[in-house]
Amino acid sequence: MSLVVASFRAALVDDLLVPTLALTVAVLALAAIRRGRLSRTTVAGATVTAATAFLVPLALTQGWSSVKALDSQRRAQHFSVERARLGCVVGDRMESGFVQLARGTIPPSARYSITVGRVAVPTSAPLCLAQVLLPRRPVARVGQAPWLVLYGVAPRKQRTLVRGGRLVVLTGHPELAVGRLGSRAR
Amino acid sequence: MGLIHALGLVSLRPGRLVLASGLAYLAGVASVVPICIALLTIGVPVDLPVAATVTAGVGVAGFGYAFLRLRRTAPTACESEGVQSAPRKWTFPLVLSRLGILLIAGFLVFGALSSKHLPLVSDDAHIFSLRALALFHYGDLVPEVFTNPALVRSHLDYPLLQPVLESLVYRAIARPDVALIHIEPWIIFASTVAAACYMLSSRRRCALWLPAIAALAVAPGVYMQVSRGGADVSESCFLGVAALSGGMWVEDRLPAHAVLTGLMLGAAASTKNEGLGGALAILIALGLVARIWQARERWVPWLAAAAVSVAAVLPWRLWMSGHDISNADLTPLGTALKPAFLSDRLNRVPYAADKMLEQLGNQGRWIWLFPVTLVVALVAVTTPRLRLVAAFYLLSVVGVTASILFAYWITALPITYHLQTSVDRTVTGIVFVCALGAANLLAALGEDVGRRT
Repeated sequence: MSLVVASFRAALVDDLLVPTLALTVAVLALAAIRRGRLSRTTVAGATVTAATAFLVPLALTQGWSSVKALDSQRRAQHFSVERARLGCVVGDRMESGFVQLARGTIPPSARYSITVGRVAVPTSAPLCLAQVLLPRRPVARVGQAPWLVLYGVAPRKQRTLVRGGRLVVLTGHPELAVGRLGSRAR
Repeated sequence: MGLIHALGLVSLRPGRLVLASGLAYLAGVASVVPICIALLTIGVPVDLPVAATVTAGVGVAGFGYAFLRLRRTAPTACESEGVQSAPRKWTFPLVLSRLGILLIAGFLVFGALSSKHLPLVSDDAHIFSLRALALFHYGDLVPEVFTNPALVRSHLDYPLLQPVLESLVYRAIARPDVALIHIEPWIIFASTVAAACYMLSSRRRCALWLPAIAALAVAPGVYMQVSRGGADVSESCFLGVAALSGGMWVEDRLPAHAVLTGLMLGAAASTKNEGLGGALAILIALGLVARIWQARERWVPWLAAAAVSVAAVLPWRLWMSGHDISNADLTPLGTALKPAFLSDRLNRVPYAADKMLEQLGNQGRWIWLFPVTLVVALVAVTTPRLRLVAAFYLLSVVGVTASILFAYWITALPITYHLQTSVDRTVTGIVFVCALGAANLLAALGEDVGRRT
């Protein structure tokens, strides 16, 4: 608890108290210099002056830095529509070849279920797959749709899940596969 | 445009219409998209003809109401203030401030164009674009995406304003161009800056309010988020304009400002869950500062603002409740409001407050807009004319901050993880309220001083 209180105080002093105090002192000093005494009017005038003097240089310098940052973003990233849509596949460190396999195997209007393995698969994998595979529709459970997307699932479990159906495995990645349920399971 | 004309916030002169286009766009989104969401929740697919009909309906209703009202009464105070002012002399501060506005506009256009070909990542890919693409392909709330328990991590409870807007953009350009869609949040942000400039310019000198607006426009914390396509900045834009408009209502009691506040709060609450807490906080602050219980002229506009906000939010909340969807990140309020539960987690409050203050004091992200607003508001509270307006902004900032702090207090996620992954975004609404409030107060203080001296 004491650690929490200490860090709370540190944040106030380091991050907010310094600029707040600096601005307050500037306001009071300006007000005193202007009229030689403090009144509501002088303090208000000094506040406007100090805040403007505080914000304008910050906005100008930061504006220039922001322009440079945006320009480097513009130069560095120029994604086509398709590559932009696959951004989460790269961002979540998933296998982009698998998306092509799934898109090529599952018809665009079909329904499918997603099963992900428990190891070395990003937690956001089902969301990313659901997005990149649209307009194909994801269902909640295996068995509710004829197609299965199996990401990071061990080969033995894959065969169990398709229940006599067929499996298309991504070359070099036996744990990534697209399946179609067997006729009995459907 | 019809809507803000009906409210008496713009007259039908070409120059004024151009200047008010930012506010018109925000008001249009804030009114049309919630209606589209309501249609979706009752099972009506929203395609381009439906959206166009709703837009035309809102516009025609607005212009029709304005026409009938103008036949009966004189132009409102706001119109006469803004339009019938004397021509201005081109003084040095005026030239400088016009140059500043041009620079800000140039920056916003450059920012939008620089974000044109960015990838979909993070929340944008997993939540907003997933839903926007589903709405583009199917036009309605297909259960496979909107109620599917397998996609619970996509926050099924998140409101729909941004996905619906993006899906309509896709339909308008006839293809799901996800690379181009990053321009949409920039348009909302630029419209907010333009709306603030328009609202403030009708009553205050530009040189006085421009520094705060400029600081907000170029703050790295804002443009970095806008480029990533999340909804936090969009929600904050609506919240900020609502606070600005609320402050104007406290000052001039023009009912149009109260209604505009309600409209913007409804849009904020329809964009993100944080917007709901923020909207509630601002409505309470508005009611307290305006002392609505004292006179009918006060509680009627306030009630109208509250009703507009509730009408925008209610259909989605009812649909969620009908489909048994709730916020999985937060403990249900039934449990969370128990004193024993709250006291057990009390140590989370200073920890979360520490992280939030650390963010708000981060000059590299937010250009110290928070401490500047605190000082300006505290000085303004001591002046008789601005006491209530300053109190409203202070209460709003405290209220919005408290609503986010409460969410961290009752979070079902590990607090460290929740803060690490969200605090740099959740404070955005506070910064927008600060920036637009500070702009209004600085200009009002400056004019007070000018009058007295």
